[in-house]
Amino acid sequence: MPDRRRLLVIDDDRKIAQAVAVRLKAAGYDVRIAHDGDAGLTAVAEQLPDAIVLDLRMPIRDGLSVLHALRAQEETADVPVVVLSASAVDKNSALHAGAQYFLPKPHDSKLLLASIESALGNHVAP
Amino acid sequence: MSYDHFKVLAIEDDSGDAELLRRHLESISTFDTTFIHATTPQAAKDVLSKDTVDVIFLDQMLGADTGMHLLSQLRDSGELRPIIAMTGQGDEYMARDSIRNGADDYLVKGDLAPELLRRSIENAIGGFKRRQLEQINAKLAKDLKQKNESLKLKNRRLAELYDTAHEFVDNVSHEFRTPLTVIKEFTSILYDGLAGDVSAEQQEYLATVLDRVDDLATMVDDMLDISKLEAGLLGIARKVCTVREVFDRVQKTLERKAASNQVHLATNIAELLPSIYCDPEKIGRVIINLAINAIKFSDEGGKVTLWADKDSELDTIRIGISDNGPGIDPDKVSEIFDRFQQAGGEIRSSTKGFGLGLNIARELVRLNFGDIDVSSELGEGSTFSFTVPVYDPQLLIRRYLERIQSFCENAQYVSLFVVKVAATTDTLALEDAERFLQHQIRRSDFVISSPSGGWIVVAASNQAELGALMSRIESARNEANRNRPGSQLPQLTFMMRGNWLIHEDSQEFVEAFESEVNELGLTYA
Repeated sequence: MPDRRRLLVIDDDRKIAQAVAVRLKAAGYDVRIAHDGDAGLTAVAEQLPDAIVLDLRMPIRDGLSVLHALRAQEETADVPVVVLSASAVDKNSALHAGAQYFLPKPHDSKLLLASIESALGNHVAP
Repeated sequence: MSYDHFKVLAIEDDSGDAELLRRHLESISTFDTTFIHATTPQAAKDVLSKDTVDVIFLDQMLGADTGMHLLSQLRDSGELRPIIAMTGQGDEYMARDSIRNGADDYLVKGDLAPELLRRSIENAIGGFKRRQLEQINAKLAKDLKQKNESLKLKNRRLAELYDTAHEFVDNVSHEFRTPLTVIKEFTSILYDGLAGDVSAEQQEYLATVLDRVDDLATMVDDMLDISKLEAGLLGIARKVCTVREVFDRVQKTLERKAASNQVHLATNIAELLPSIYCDPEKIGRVIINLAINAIKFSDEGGKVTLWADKDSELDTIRIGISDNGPGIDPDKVSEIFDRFQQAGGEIRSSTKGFGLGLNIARELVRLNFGDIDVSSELGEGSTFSFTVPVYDPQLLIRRYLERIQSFCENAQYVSLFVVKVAATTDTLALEDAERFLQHQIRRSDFVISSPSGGWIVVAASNQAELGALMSRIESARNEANRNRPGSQLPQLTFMMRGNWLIHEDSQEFVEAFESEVNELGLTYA
């Protein structure tokens, strides 16, 4: 598929990142993985993804900081971000920081796919 | 000590002067004095340490200037008793110094007269009493200051504990959810056949794993809710919504659960129900807790019905979950909402413990101004039901007051203020502002919104606490806006309406609230 949508999964738990990637690849997405916030931002700088699945609590640079960095840069300000976090308490901070969706872990994979589709749809809409 | 009887100590190295003083004292008809004479500072100190002396006469010329020296020594060591300095003729400068060093009065030896002596003693005793009072006051002030400091310290520690508790609960949640996520994800990948073909039997086993992972996730939520409820950390965002909206949130989860337990799930919402006022997420959790309980306790092929109808009590909707399961022993019904209690036989208790869920359900219902009930018959089934108030500001404010009053026996203030945004604010920004505001207020506060923008906020605070709340909201808004350069929260304007002591002025408060409701055009939905 020449125009597969590119997703970036940022999660410090390698097994969660792997499982989410398996799920997203099966749904037809081109998926890359980063294991901390800094690596995530580097990956974004190398190749702009169509959407990002982002964990919040990570060492080195946490998800909120990644969100702020993304929103502060003109090129990345509009990339849709779906936050996938085990800390439900961070929902409001994530939404305030500019995440499109927030799904608490353990999440429903159908809901994750629906959120990504919706985020991508909103992204291209005028 | 009596005014009539004194024990006098004369510290005097001149026997003649001491004798003169004794005679003058004896000649005062209203006094009855015991006279002790000490000739050296050491002898004087011995007497003072052993004897109850009421007044001290101290010769300032006690060999060179040791008299003055002794005076300072006595006062420095905490001697409070009256001291009258005795000086020679023409030594007035020394007299002034003795006052400065702590003497209550001074007398010139050559001028002694009974009347003068009497007045001097009375003055000196007055000074003594004043010093005693000052000392008591100083001690009280010191005690008070210490208690104040220790209270401040305790408050600081409590605040730290509160933060620690908050953090701890969040961390525990995170620690539990992470492995649950891994289990759930890989199991569902296997179940969906993404890692190769799965036999029907394997799929059935995997479905059971998924089902129990969901149970475990719910139990983690329950545990956290309980600790947050107890610590007062659970926030609540009540708003206008419909029963249908609340049911829609939970339908999918319950259908999956019912299917996996082979229980038939039916939904029955009465027509034309008015809008309700609650935190839809929390009420959803109540329904999930009650319905999952019902599904688990039902046998295969059993039926669980989720229903909603008008309650016999006006302005209230009743939401219920009925099953045709084994029912609950009447003796156990009263304790069923208590934590860790579970009704039914021993086998059931060991495999299906849901005391926690019911306890949380009751607390969450109460937070939404409702009550929870159970009716059950052994062998016939059980119905758990709870009430939710209809959206009617007048009704809601009364429910709110009842709740606040039942919480606080002491004087509790409520403040009323209105929050507005610019008329040009769009719907999205309004929703943002609403979400933000709901997040900021405490569970003891109450906020009601107007569809046209604007909120009436009732805070369980006095004037001072209210100021703190408002500045906290404002700084949280600034903080949030720094984090979201793309879409700023609208400017919020706070308009203070008043402050009432609810045990005394609740009627006045309700009138003020209702006039705001009319002002914003909020009506019975």
